[in-house]
Amino acid sequence: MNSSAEAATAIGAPRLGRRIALLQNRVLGVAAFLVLLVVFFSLLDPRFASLANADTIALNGSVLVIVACGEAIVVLTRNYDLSVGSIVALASYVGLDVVRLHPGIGPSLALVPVLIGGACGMVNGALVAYANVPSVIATLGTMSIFRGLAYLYAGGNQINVKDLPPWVVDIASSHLFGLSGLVVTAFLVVVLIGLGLRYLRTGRQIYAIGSNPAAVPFYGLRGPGIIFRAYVLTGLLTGLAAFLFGVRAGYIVPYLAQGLELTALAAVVVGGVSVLGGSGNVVGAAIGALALATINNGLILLGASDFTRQFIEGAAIVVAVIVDAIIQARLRELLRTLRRRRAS
Amino acid sequence: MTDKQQYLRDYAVREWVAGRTSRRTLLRQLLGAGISLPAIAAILAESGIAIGAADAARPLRIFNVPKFTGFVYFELAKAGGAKACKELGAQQIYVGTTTADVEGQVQVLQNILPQHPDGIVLASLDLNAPVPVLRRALSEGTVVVTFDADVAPAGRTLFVNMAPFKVQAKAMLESALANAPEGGKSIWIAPTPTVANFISQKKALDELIASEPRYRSIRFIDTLYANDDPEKSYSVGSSAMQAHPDLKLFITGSGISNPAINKAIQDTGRAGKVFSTGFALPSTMKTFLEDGTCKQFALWSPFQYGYMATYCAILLKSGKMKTAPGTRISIPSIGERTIGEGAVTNLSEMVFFTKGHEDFDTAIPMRS
Amino acid sequence: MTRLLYRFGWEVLLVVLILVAGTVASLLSPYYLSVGQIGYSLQQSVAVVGTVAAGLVPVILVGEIDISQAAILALGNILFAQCSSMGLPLAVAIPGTLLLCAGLGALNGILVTAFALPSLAVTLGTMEAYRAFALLIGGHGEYASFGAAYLWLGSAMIGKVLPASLVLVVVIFAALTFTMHRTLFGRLVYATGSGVKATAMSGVRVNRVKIITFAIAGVMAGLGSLVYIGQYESARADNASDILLLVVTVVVLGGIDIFGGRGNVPGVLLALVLIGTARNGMGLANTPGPVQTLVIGTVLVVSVLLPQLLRLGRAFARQRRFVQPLQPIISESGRTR
Repeated sequence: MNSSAEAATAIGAPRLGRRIALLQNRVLGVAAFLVLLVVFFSLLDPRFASLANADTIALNGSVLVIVACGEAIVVLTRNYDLSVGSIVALASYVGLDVVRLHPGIGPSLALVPVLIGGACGMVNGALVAYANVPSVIATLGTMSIFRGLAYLYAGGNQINVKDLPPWVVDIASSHLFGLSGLVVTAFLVVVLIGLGLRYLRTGRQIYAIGSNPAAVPFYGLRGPGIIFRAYVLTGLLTGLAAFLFGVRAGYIVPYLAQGLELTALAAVVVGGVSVLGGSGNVVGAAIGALALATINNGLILLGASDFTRQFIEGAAIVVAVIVDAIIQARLRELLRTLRRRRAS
Repeated sequence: MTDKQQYLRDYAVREWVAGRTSRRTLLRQLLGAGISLPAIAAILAESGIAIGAADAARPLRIFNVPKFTGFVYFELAKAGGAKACKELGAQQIYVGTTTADVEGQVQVLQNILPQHPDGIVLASLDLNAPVPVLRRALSEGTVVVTFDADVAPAGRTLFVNMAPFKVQAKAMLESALANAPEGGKSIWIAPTPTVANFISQKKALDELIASEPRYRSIRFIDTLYANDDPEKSYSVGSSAMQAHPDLKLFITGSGISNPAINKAIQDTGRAGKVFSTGFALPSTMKTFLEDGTCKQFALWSPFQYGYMATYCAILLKSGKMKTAPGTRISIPSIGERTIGEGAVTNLSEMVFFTKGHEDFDTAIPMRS
Repeated sequence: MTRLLYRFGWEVLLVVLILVAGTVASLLSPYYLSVGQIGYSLQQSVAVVGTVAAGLVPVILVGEIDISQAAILALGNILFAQCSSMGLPLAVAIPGTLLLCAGLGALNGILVTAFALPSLAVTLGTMEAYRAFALLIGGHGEYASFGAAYLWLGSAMIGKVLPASLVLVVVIFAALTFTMHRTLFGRLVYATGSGVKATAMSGVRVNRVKIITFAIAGVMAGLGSLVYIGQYESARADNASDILLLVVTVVVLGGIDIFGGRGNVPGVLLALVLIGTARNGMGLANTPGPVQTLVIGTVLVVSVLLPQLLRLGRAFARQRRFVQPLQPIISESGRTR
């Protein structure tokens, strides 16, 4: 991804190369934003800057991080997934109900919510990739369909965590090197997905189709297949988040995670993943999710009203998108300059 | 229409209205009588209106509309209502939206209206939004009984409160003291700032703390909103514990927030130092009672609640009860209750749940 | 005749579906078939959604999307209620509210065009921001009492049978049809939606066209808030949170291509009636909530899926392959995906 910067250095224009590399690194911006937030809140309230508080933020944000990673994968392909909240509800309820009904089988059943999420992802993928339904419409529709299915399955009941076999709670409250199991899981997910997107073939194809869908057939790639795989991957990740979601809250109901899709989209956008596709990475999305969790936590600490939080979230999204557009425009200019220099 | 056709039509409609035949049979009988399709359509339209004037042996139809479906609390209320209908020979129809959608609930009521309900038992999401529809229902002779959350008095015949707000506040404060006898800093958790119930509860709490020396140790330092969402309650609870290290109590009337905050207390290892109590459903709090994270909380039986509200609705519709202030009503398995000013009555069956008393059957009744 | 059918095929399909839905509804419940009932239920379920959907149509035709309309509606609600509580005359309150809502819509448009931003992301942000403002102005309380004149638009019945809000919806759609199909502005909207680059190169001020469509969306949301107050007699900052799915379903079901540049406006009115009839029928039959949600979601997906499948089927029938890597990149409408 830094090949343009290298090319610039190669022709003897290192400053141009540095500027390109800086702009192409989308993570820097959102990381700076997070640091700014932490400084801001710490100055306003010293209680913010404690290890325990950081732990709280990490705990609260870890599930959102996983969902944001999933959403980022879809956004990278220049599509949207508005059904993540409903997939969480369906996967966590049905999956954990299966666990409840078969307590003896053990931790391998943790795969059930993941697989259900994958199945939902396949439905989304089929609609968007193969049936050419625009992703906004398709996922808006599947959002209601999945949630309706969750309600019908639940039939007015709820699942209490105490009805689940002990290994479920153990996973949720486990600790590794002093960090909560949830945080470790989120960290692993970000690292694995980030590396996979960068070095695996499927990952690079996802970036390709997001940057320039028209060029994809010229490289011998099948566009619909890539998008389908992206949605399935998102579904699997959402299924994993669903498992952790349900276990954390103490009891599982079909109306879990309403509005999660918009928060995930906000995290992705703030995290520097361009909604035009092809630019940004999951590390940015994860930091974006942490930033949102930080804002929430900080505002509660300060005793700020609901209005402030909503306004800040909304303003953050608009600002992030504007900044993204400016960066893209500037990058285009710099790359044009580079091309001219190379030609001469 | 010939005499014979008229006779067959009356017979078919009567049988169907009484519930002894299905719609399909009705259509078959009408078609078999040789009545033309336009006439059948007219009959179907008419019988909707004629139902009011039909046989007295027809069972009353009571529509039960919860805040949202899929929640155990309202499912229990539905079961209670069904029991009341069974005892009094009425028919219950349970219908509602899946989310706390104000417009959706009003839409549900609008769709109930043309079905000429005899009674509507409603747990409203908004104080005022359903009132135009309910006013229309009242003007057509429907009885509207609200429970769990009221509407403006112009829109209902009777409101069955779970208990006078003072009693509710007392129950919550007693549970708070049972968890943390020395009292301390407390936070009030409500779903949103606009739910009338919670506003009244908080007011009663403040008044009780100010007037009774027993509760003076409980000091409210903040109010937080968790939208009746388990996840939001969890993060709000954990953040609040960070913000106030010497926090002692979370008090809330929301049965959804309580278990989630208890879980947050457990997960952050503060069990025994911070407590979350108030109202909650026993099925969701069993683990926390067993391991001591929560020592006591209060509730009333939603089953009895639905039972009482529906019972009153049926009595009101059949004219056996009036809503004048001071009227005494007697409800089996609940007892005698009085109707107060503004057509409000109370269930007044607060119970406490503690370790060893974890079900509705074993709960400790509150003596006010 | 066949030419008419081809051009208005979708609308004819919608009319057929309305009749089918009406028949099913009247079979499911004896209460359905009465003029008063249908009028009342259509008024209640269709008026607000229809007004907002009418505003969304030009935005989608131009190739963008606006999800902040519900928030603009809530803000309009709060403002209108505030005017009522201050005792202002309608002649001040109505233009004031509509002007503000138009301004908010124009702000959306300016953000989208000035920076060439994707409209979904921008309106996602402005949706939250506008709701926050509604919370700020309206506070956490609820407005409950309004001057009788304020309630007229949403609740009045002309001649005891015809709801005023339904008349408003019909008038709005008539005006919209005229604007989109018969005026220069409408032609420009279709042109922009079909191919932005080509239209811009023809000398059309594309940015201005887009801003005006967003402003229209805002005004319609404002009108929707006037109807809302009349219907529900209450105004809160969190009103209309769940209206988005219905509005988008109605617009898409009405035959408007989500990519822009195609679709007839009367189709949206028909789709509105269809959805209203379906919900009315389901409600009268006391269908449980989850089933209704499922049905609406399925209708949305099917209404977009069907034309796509037909297109694929036709291509297959003509013995062409599904994926043609060497097909021209630019499709007829100038879009690459």
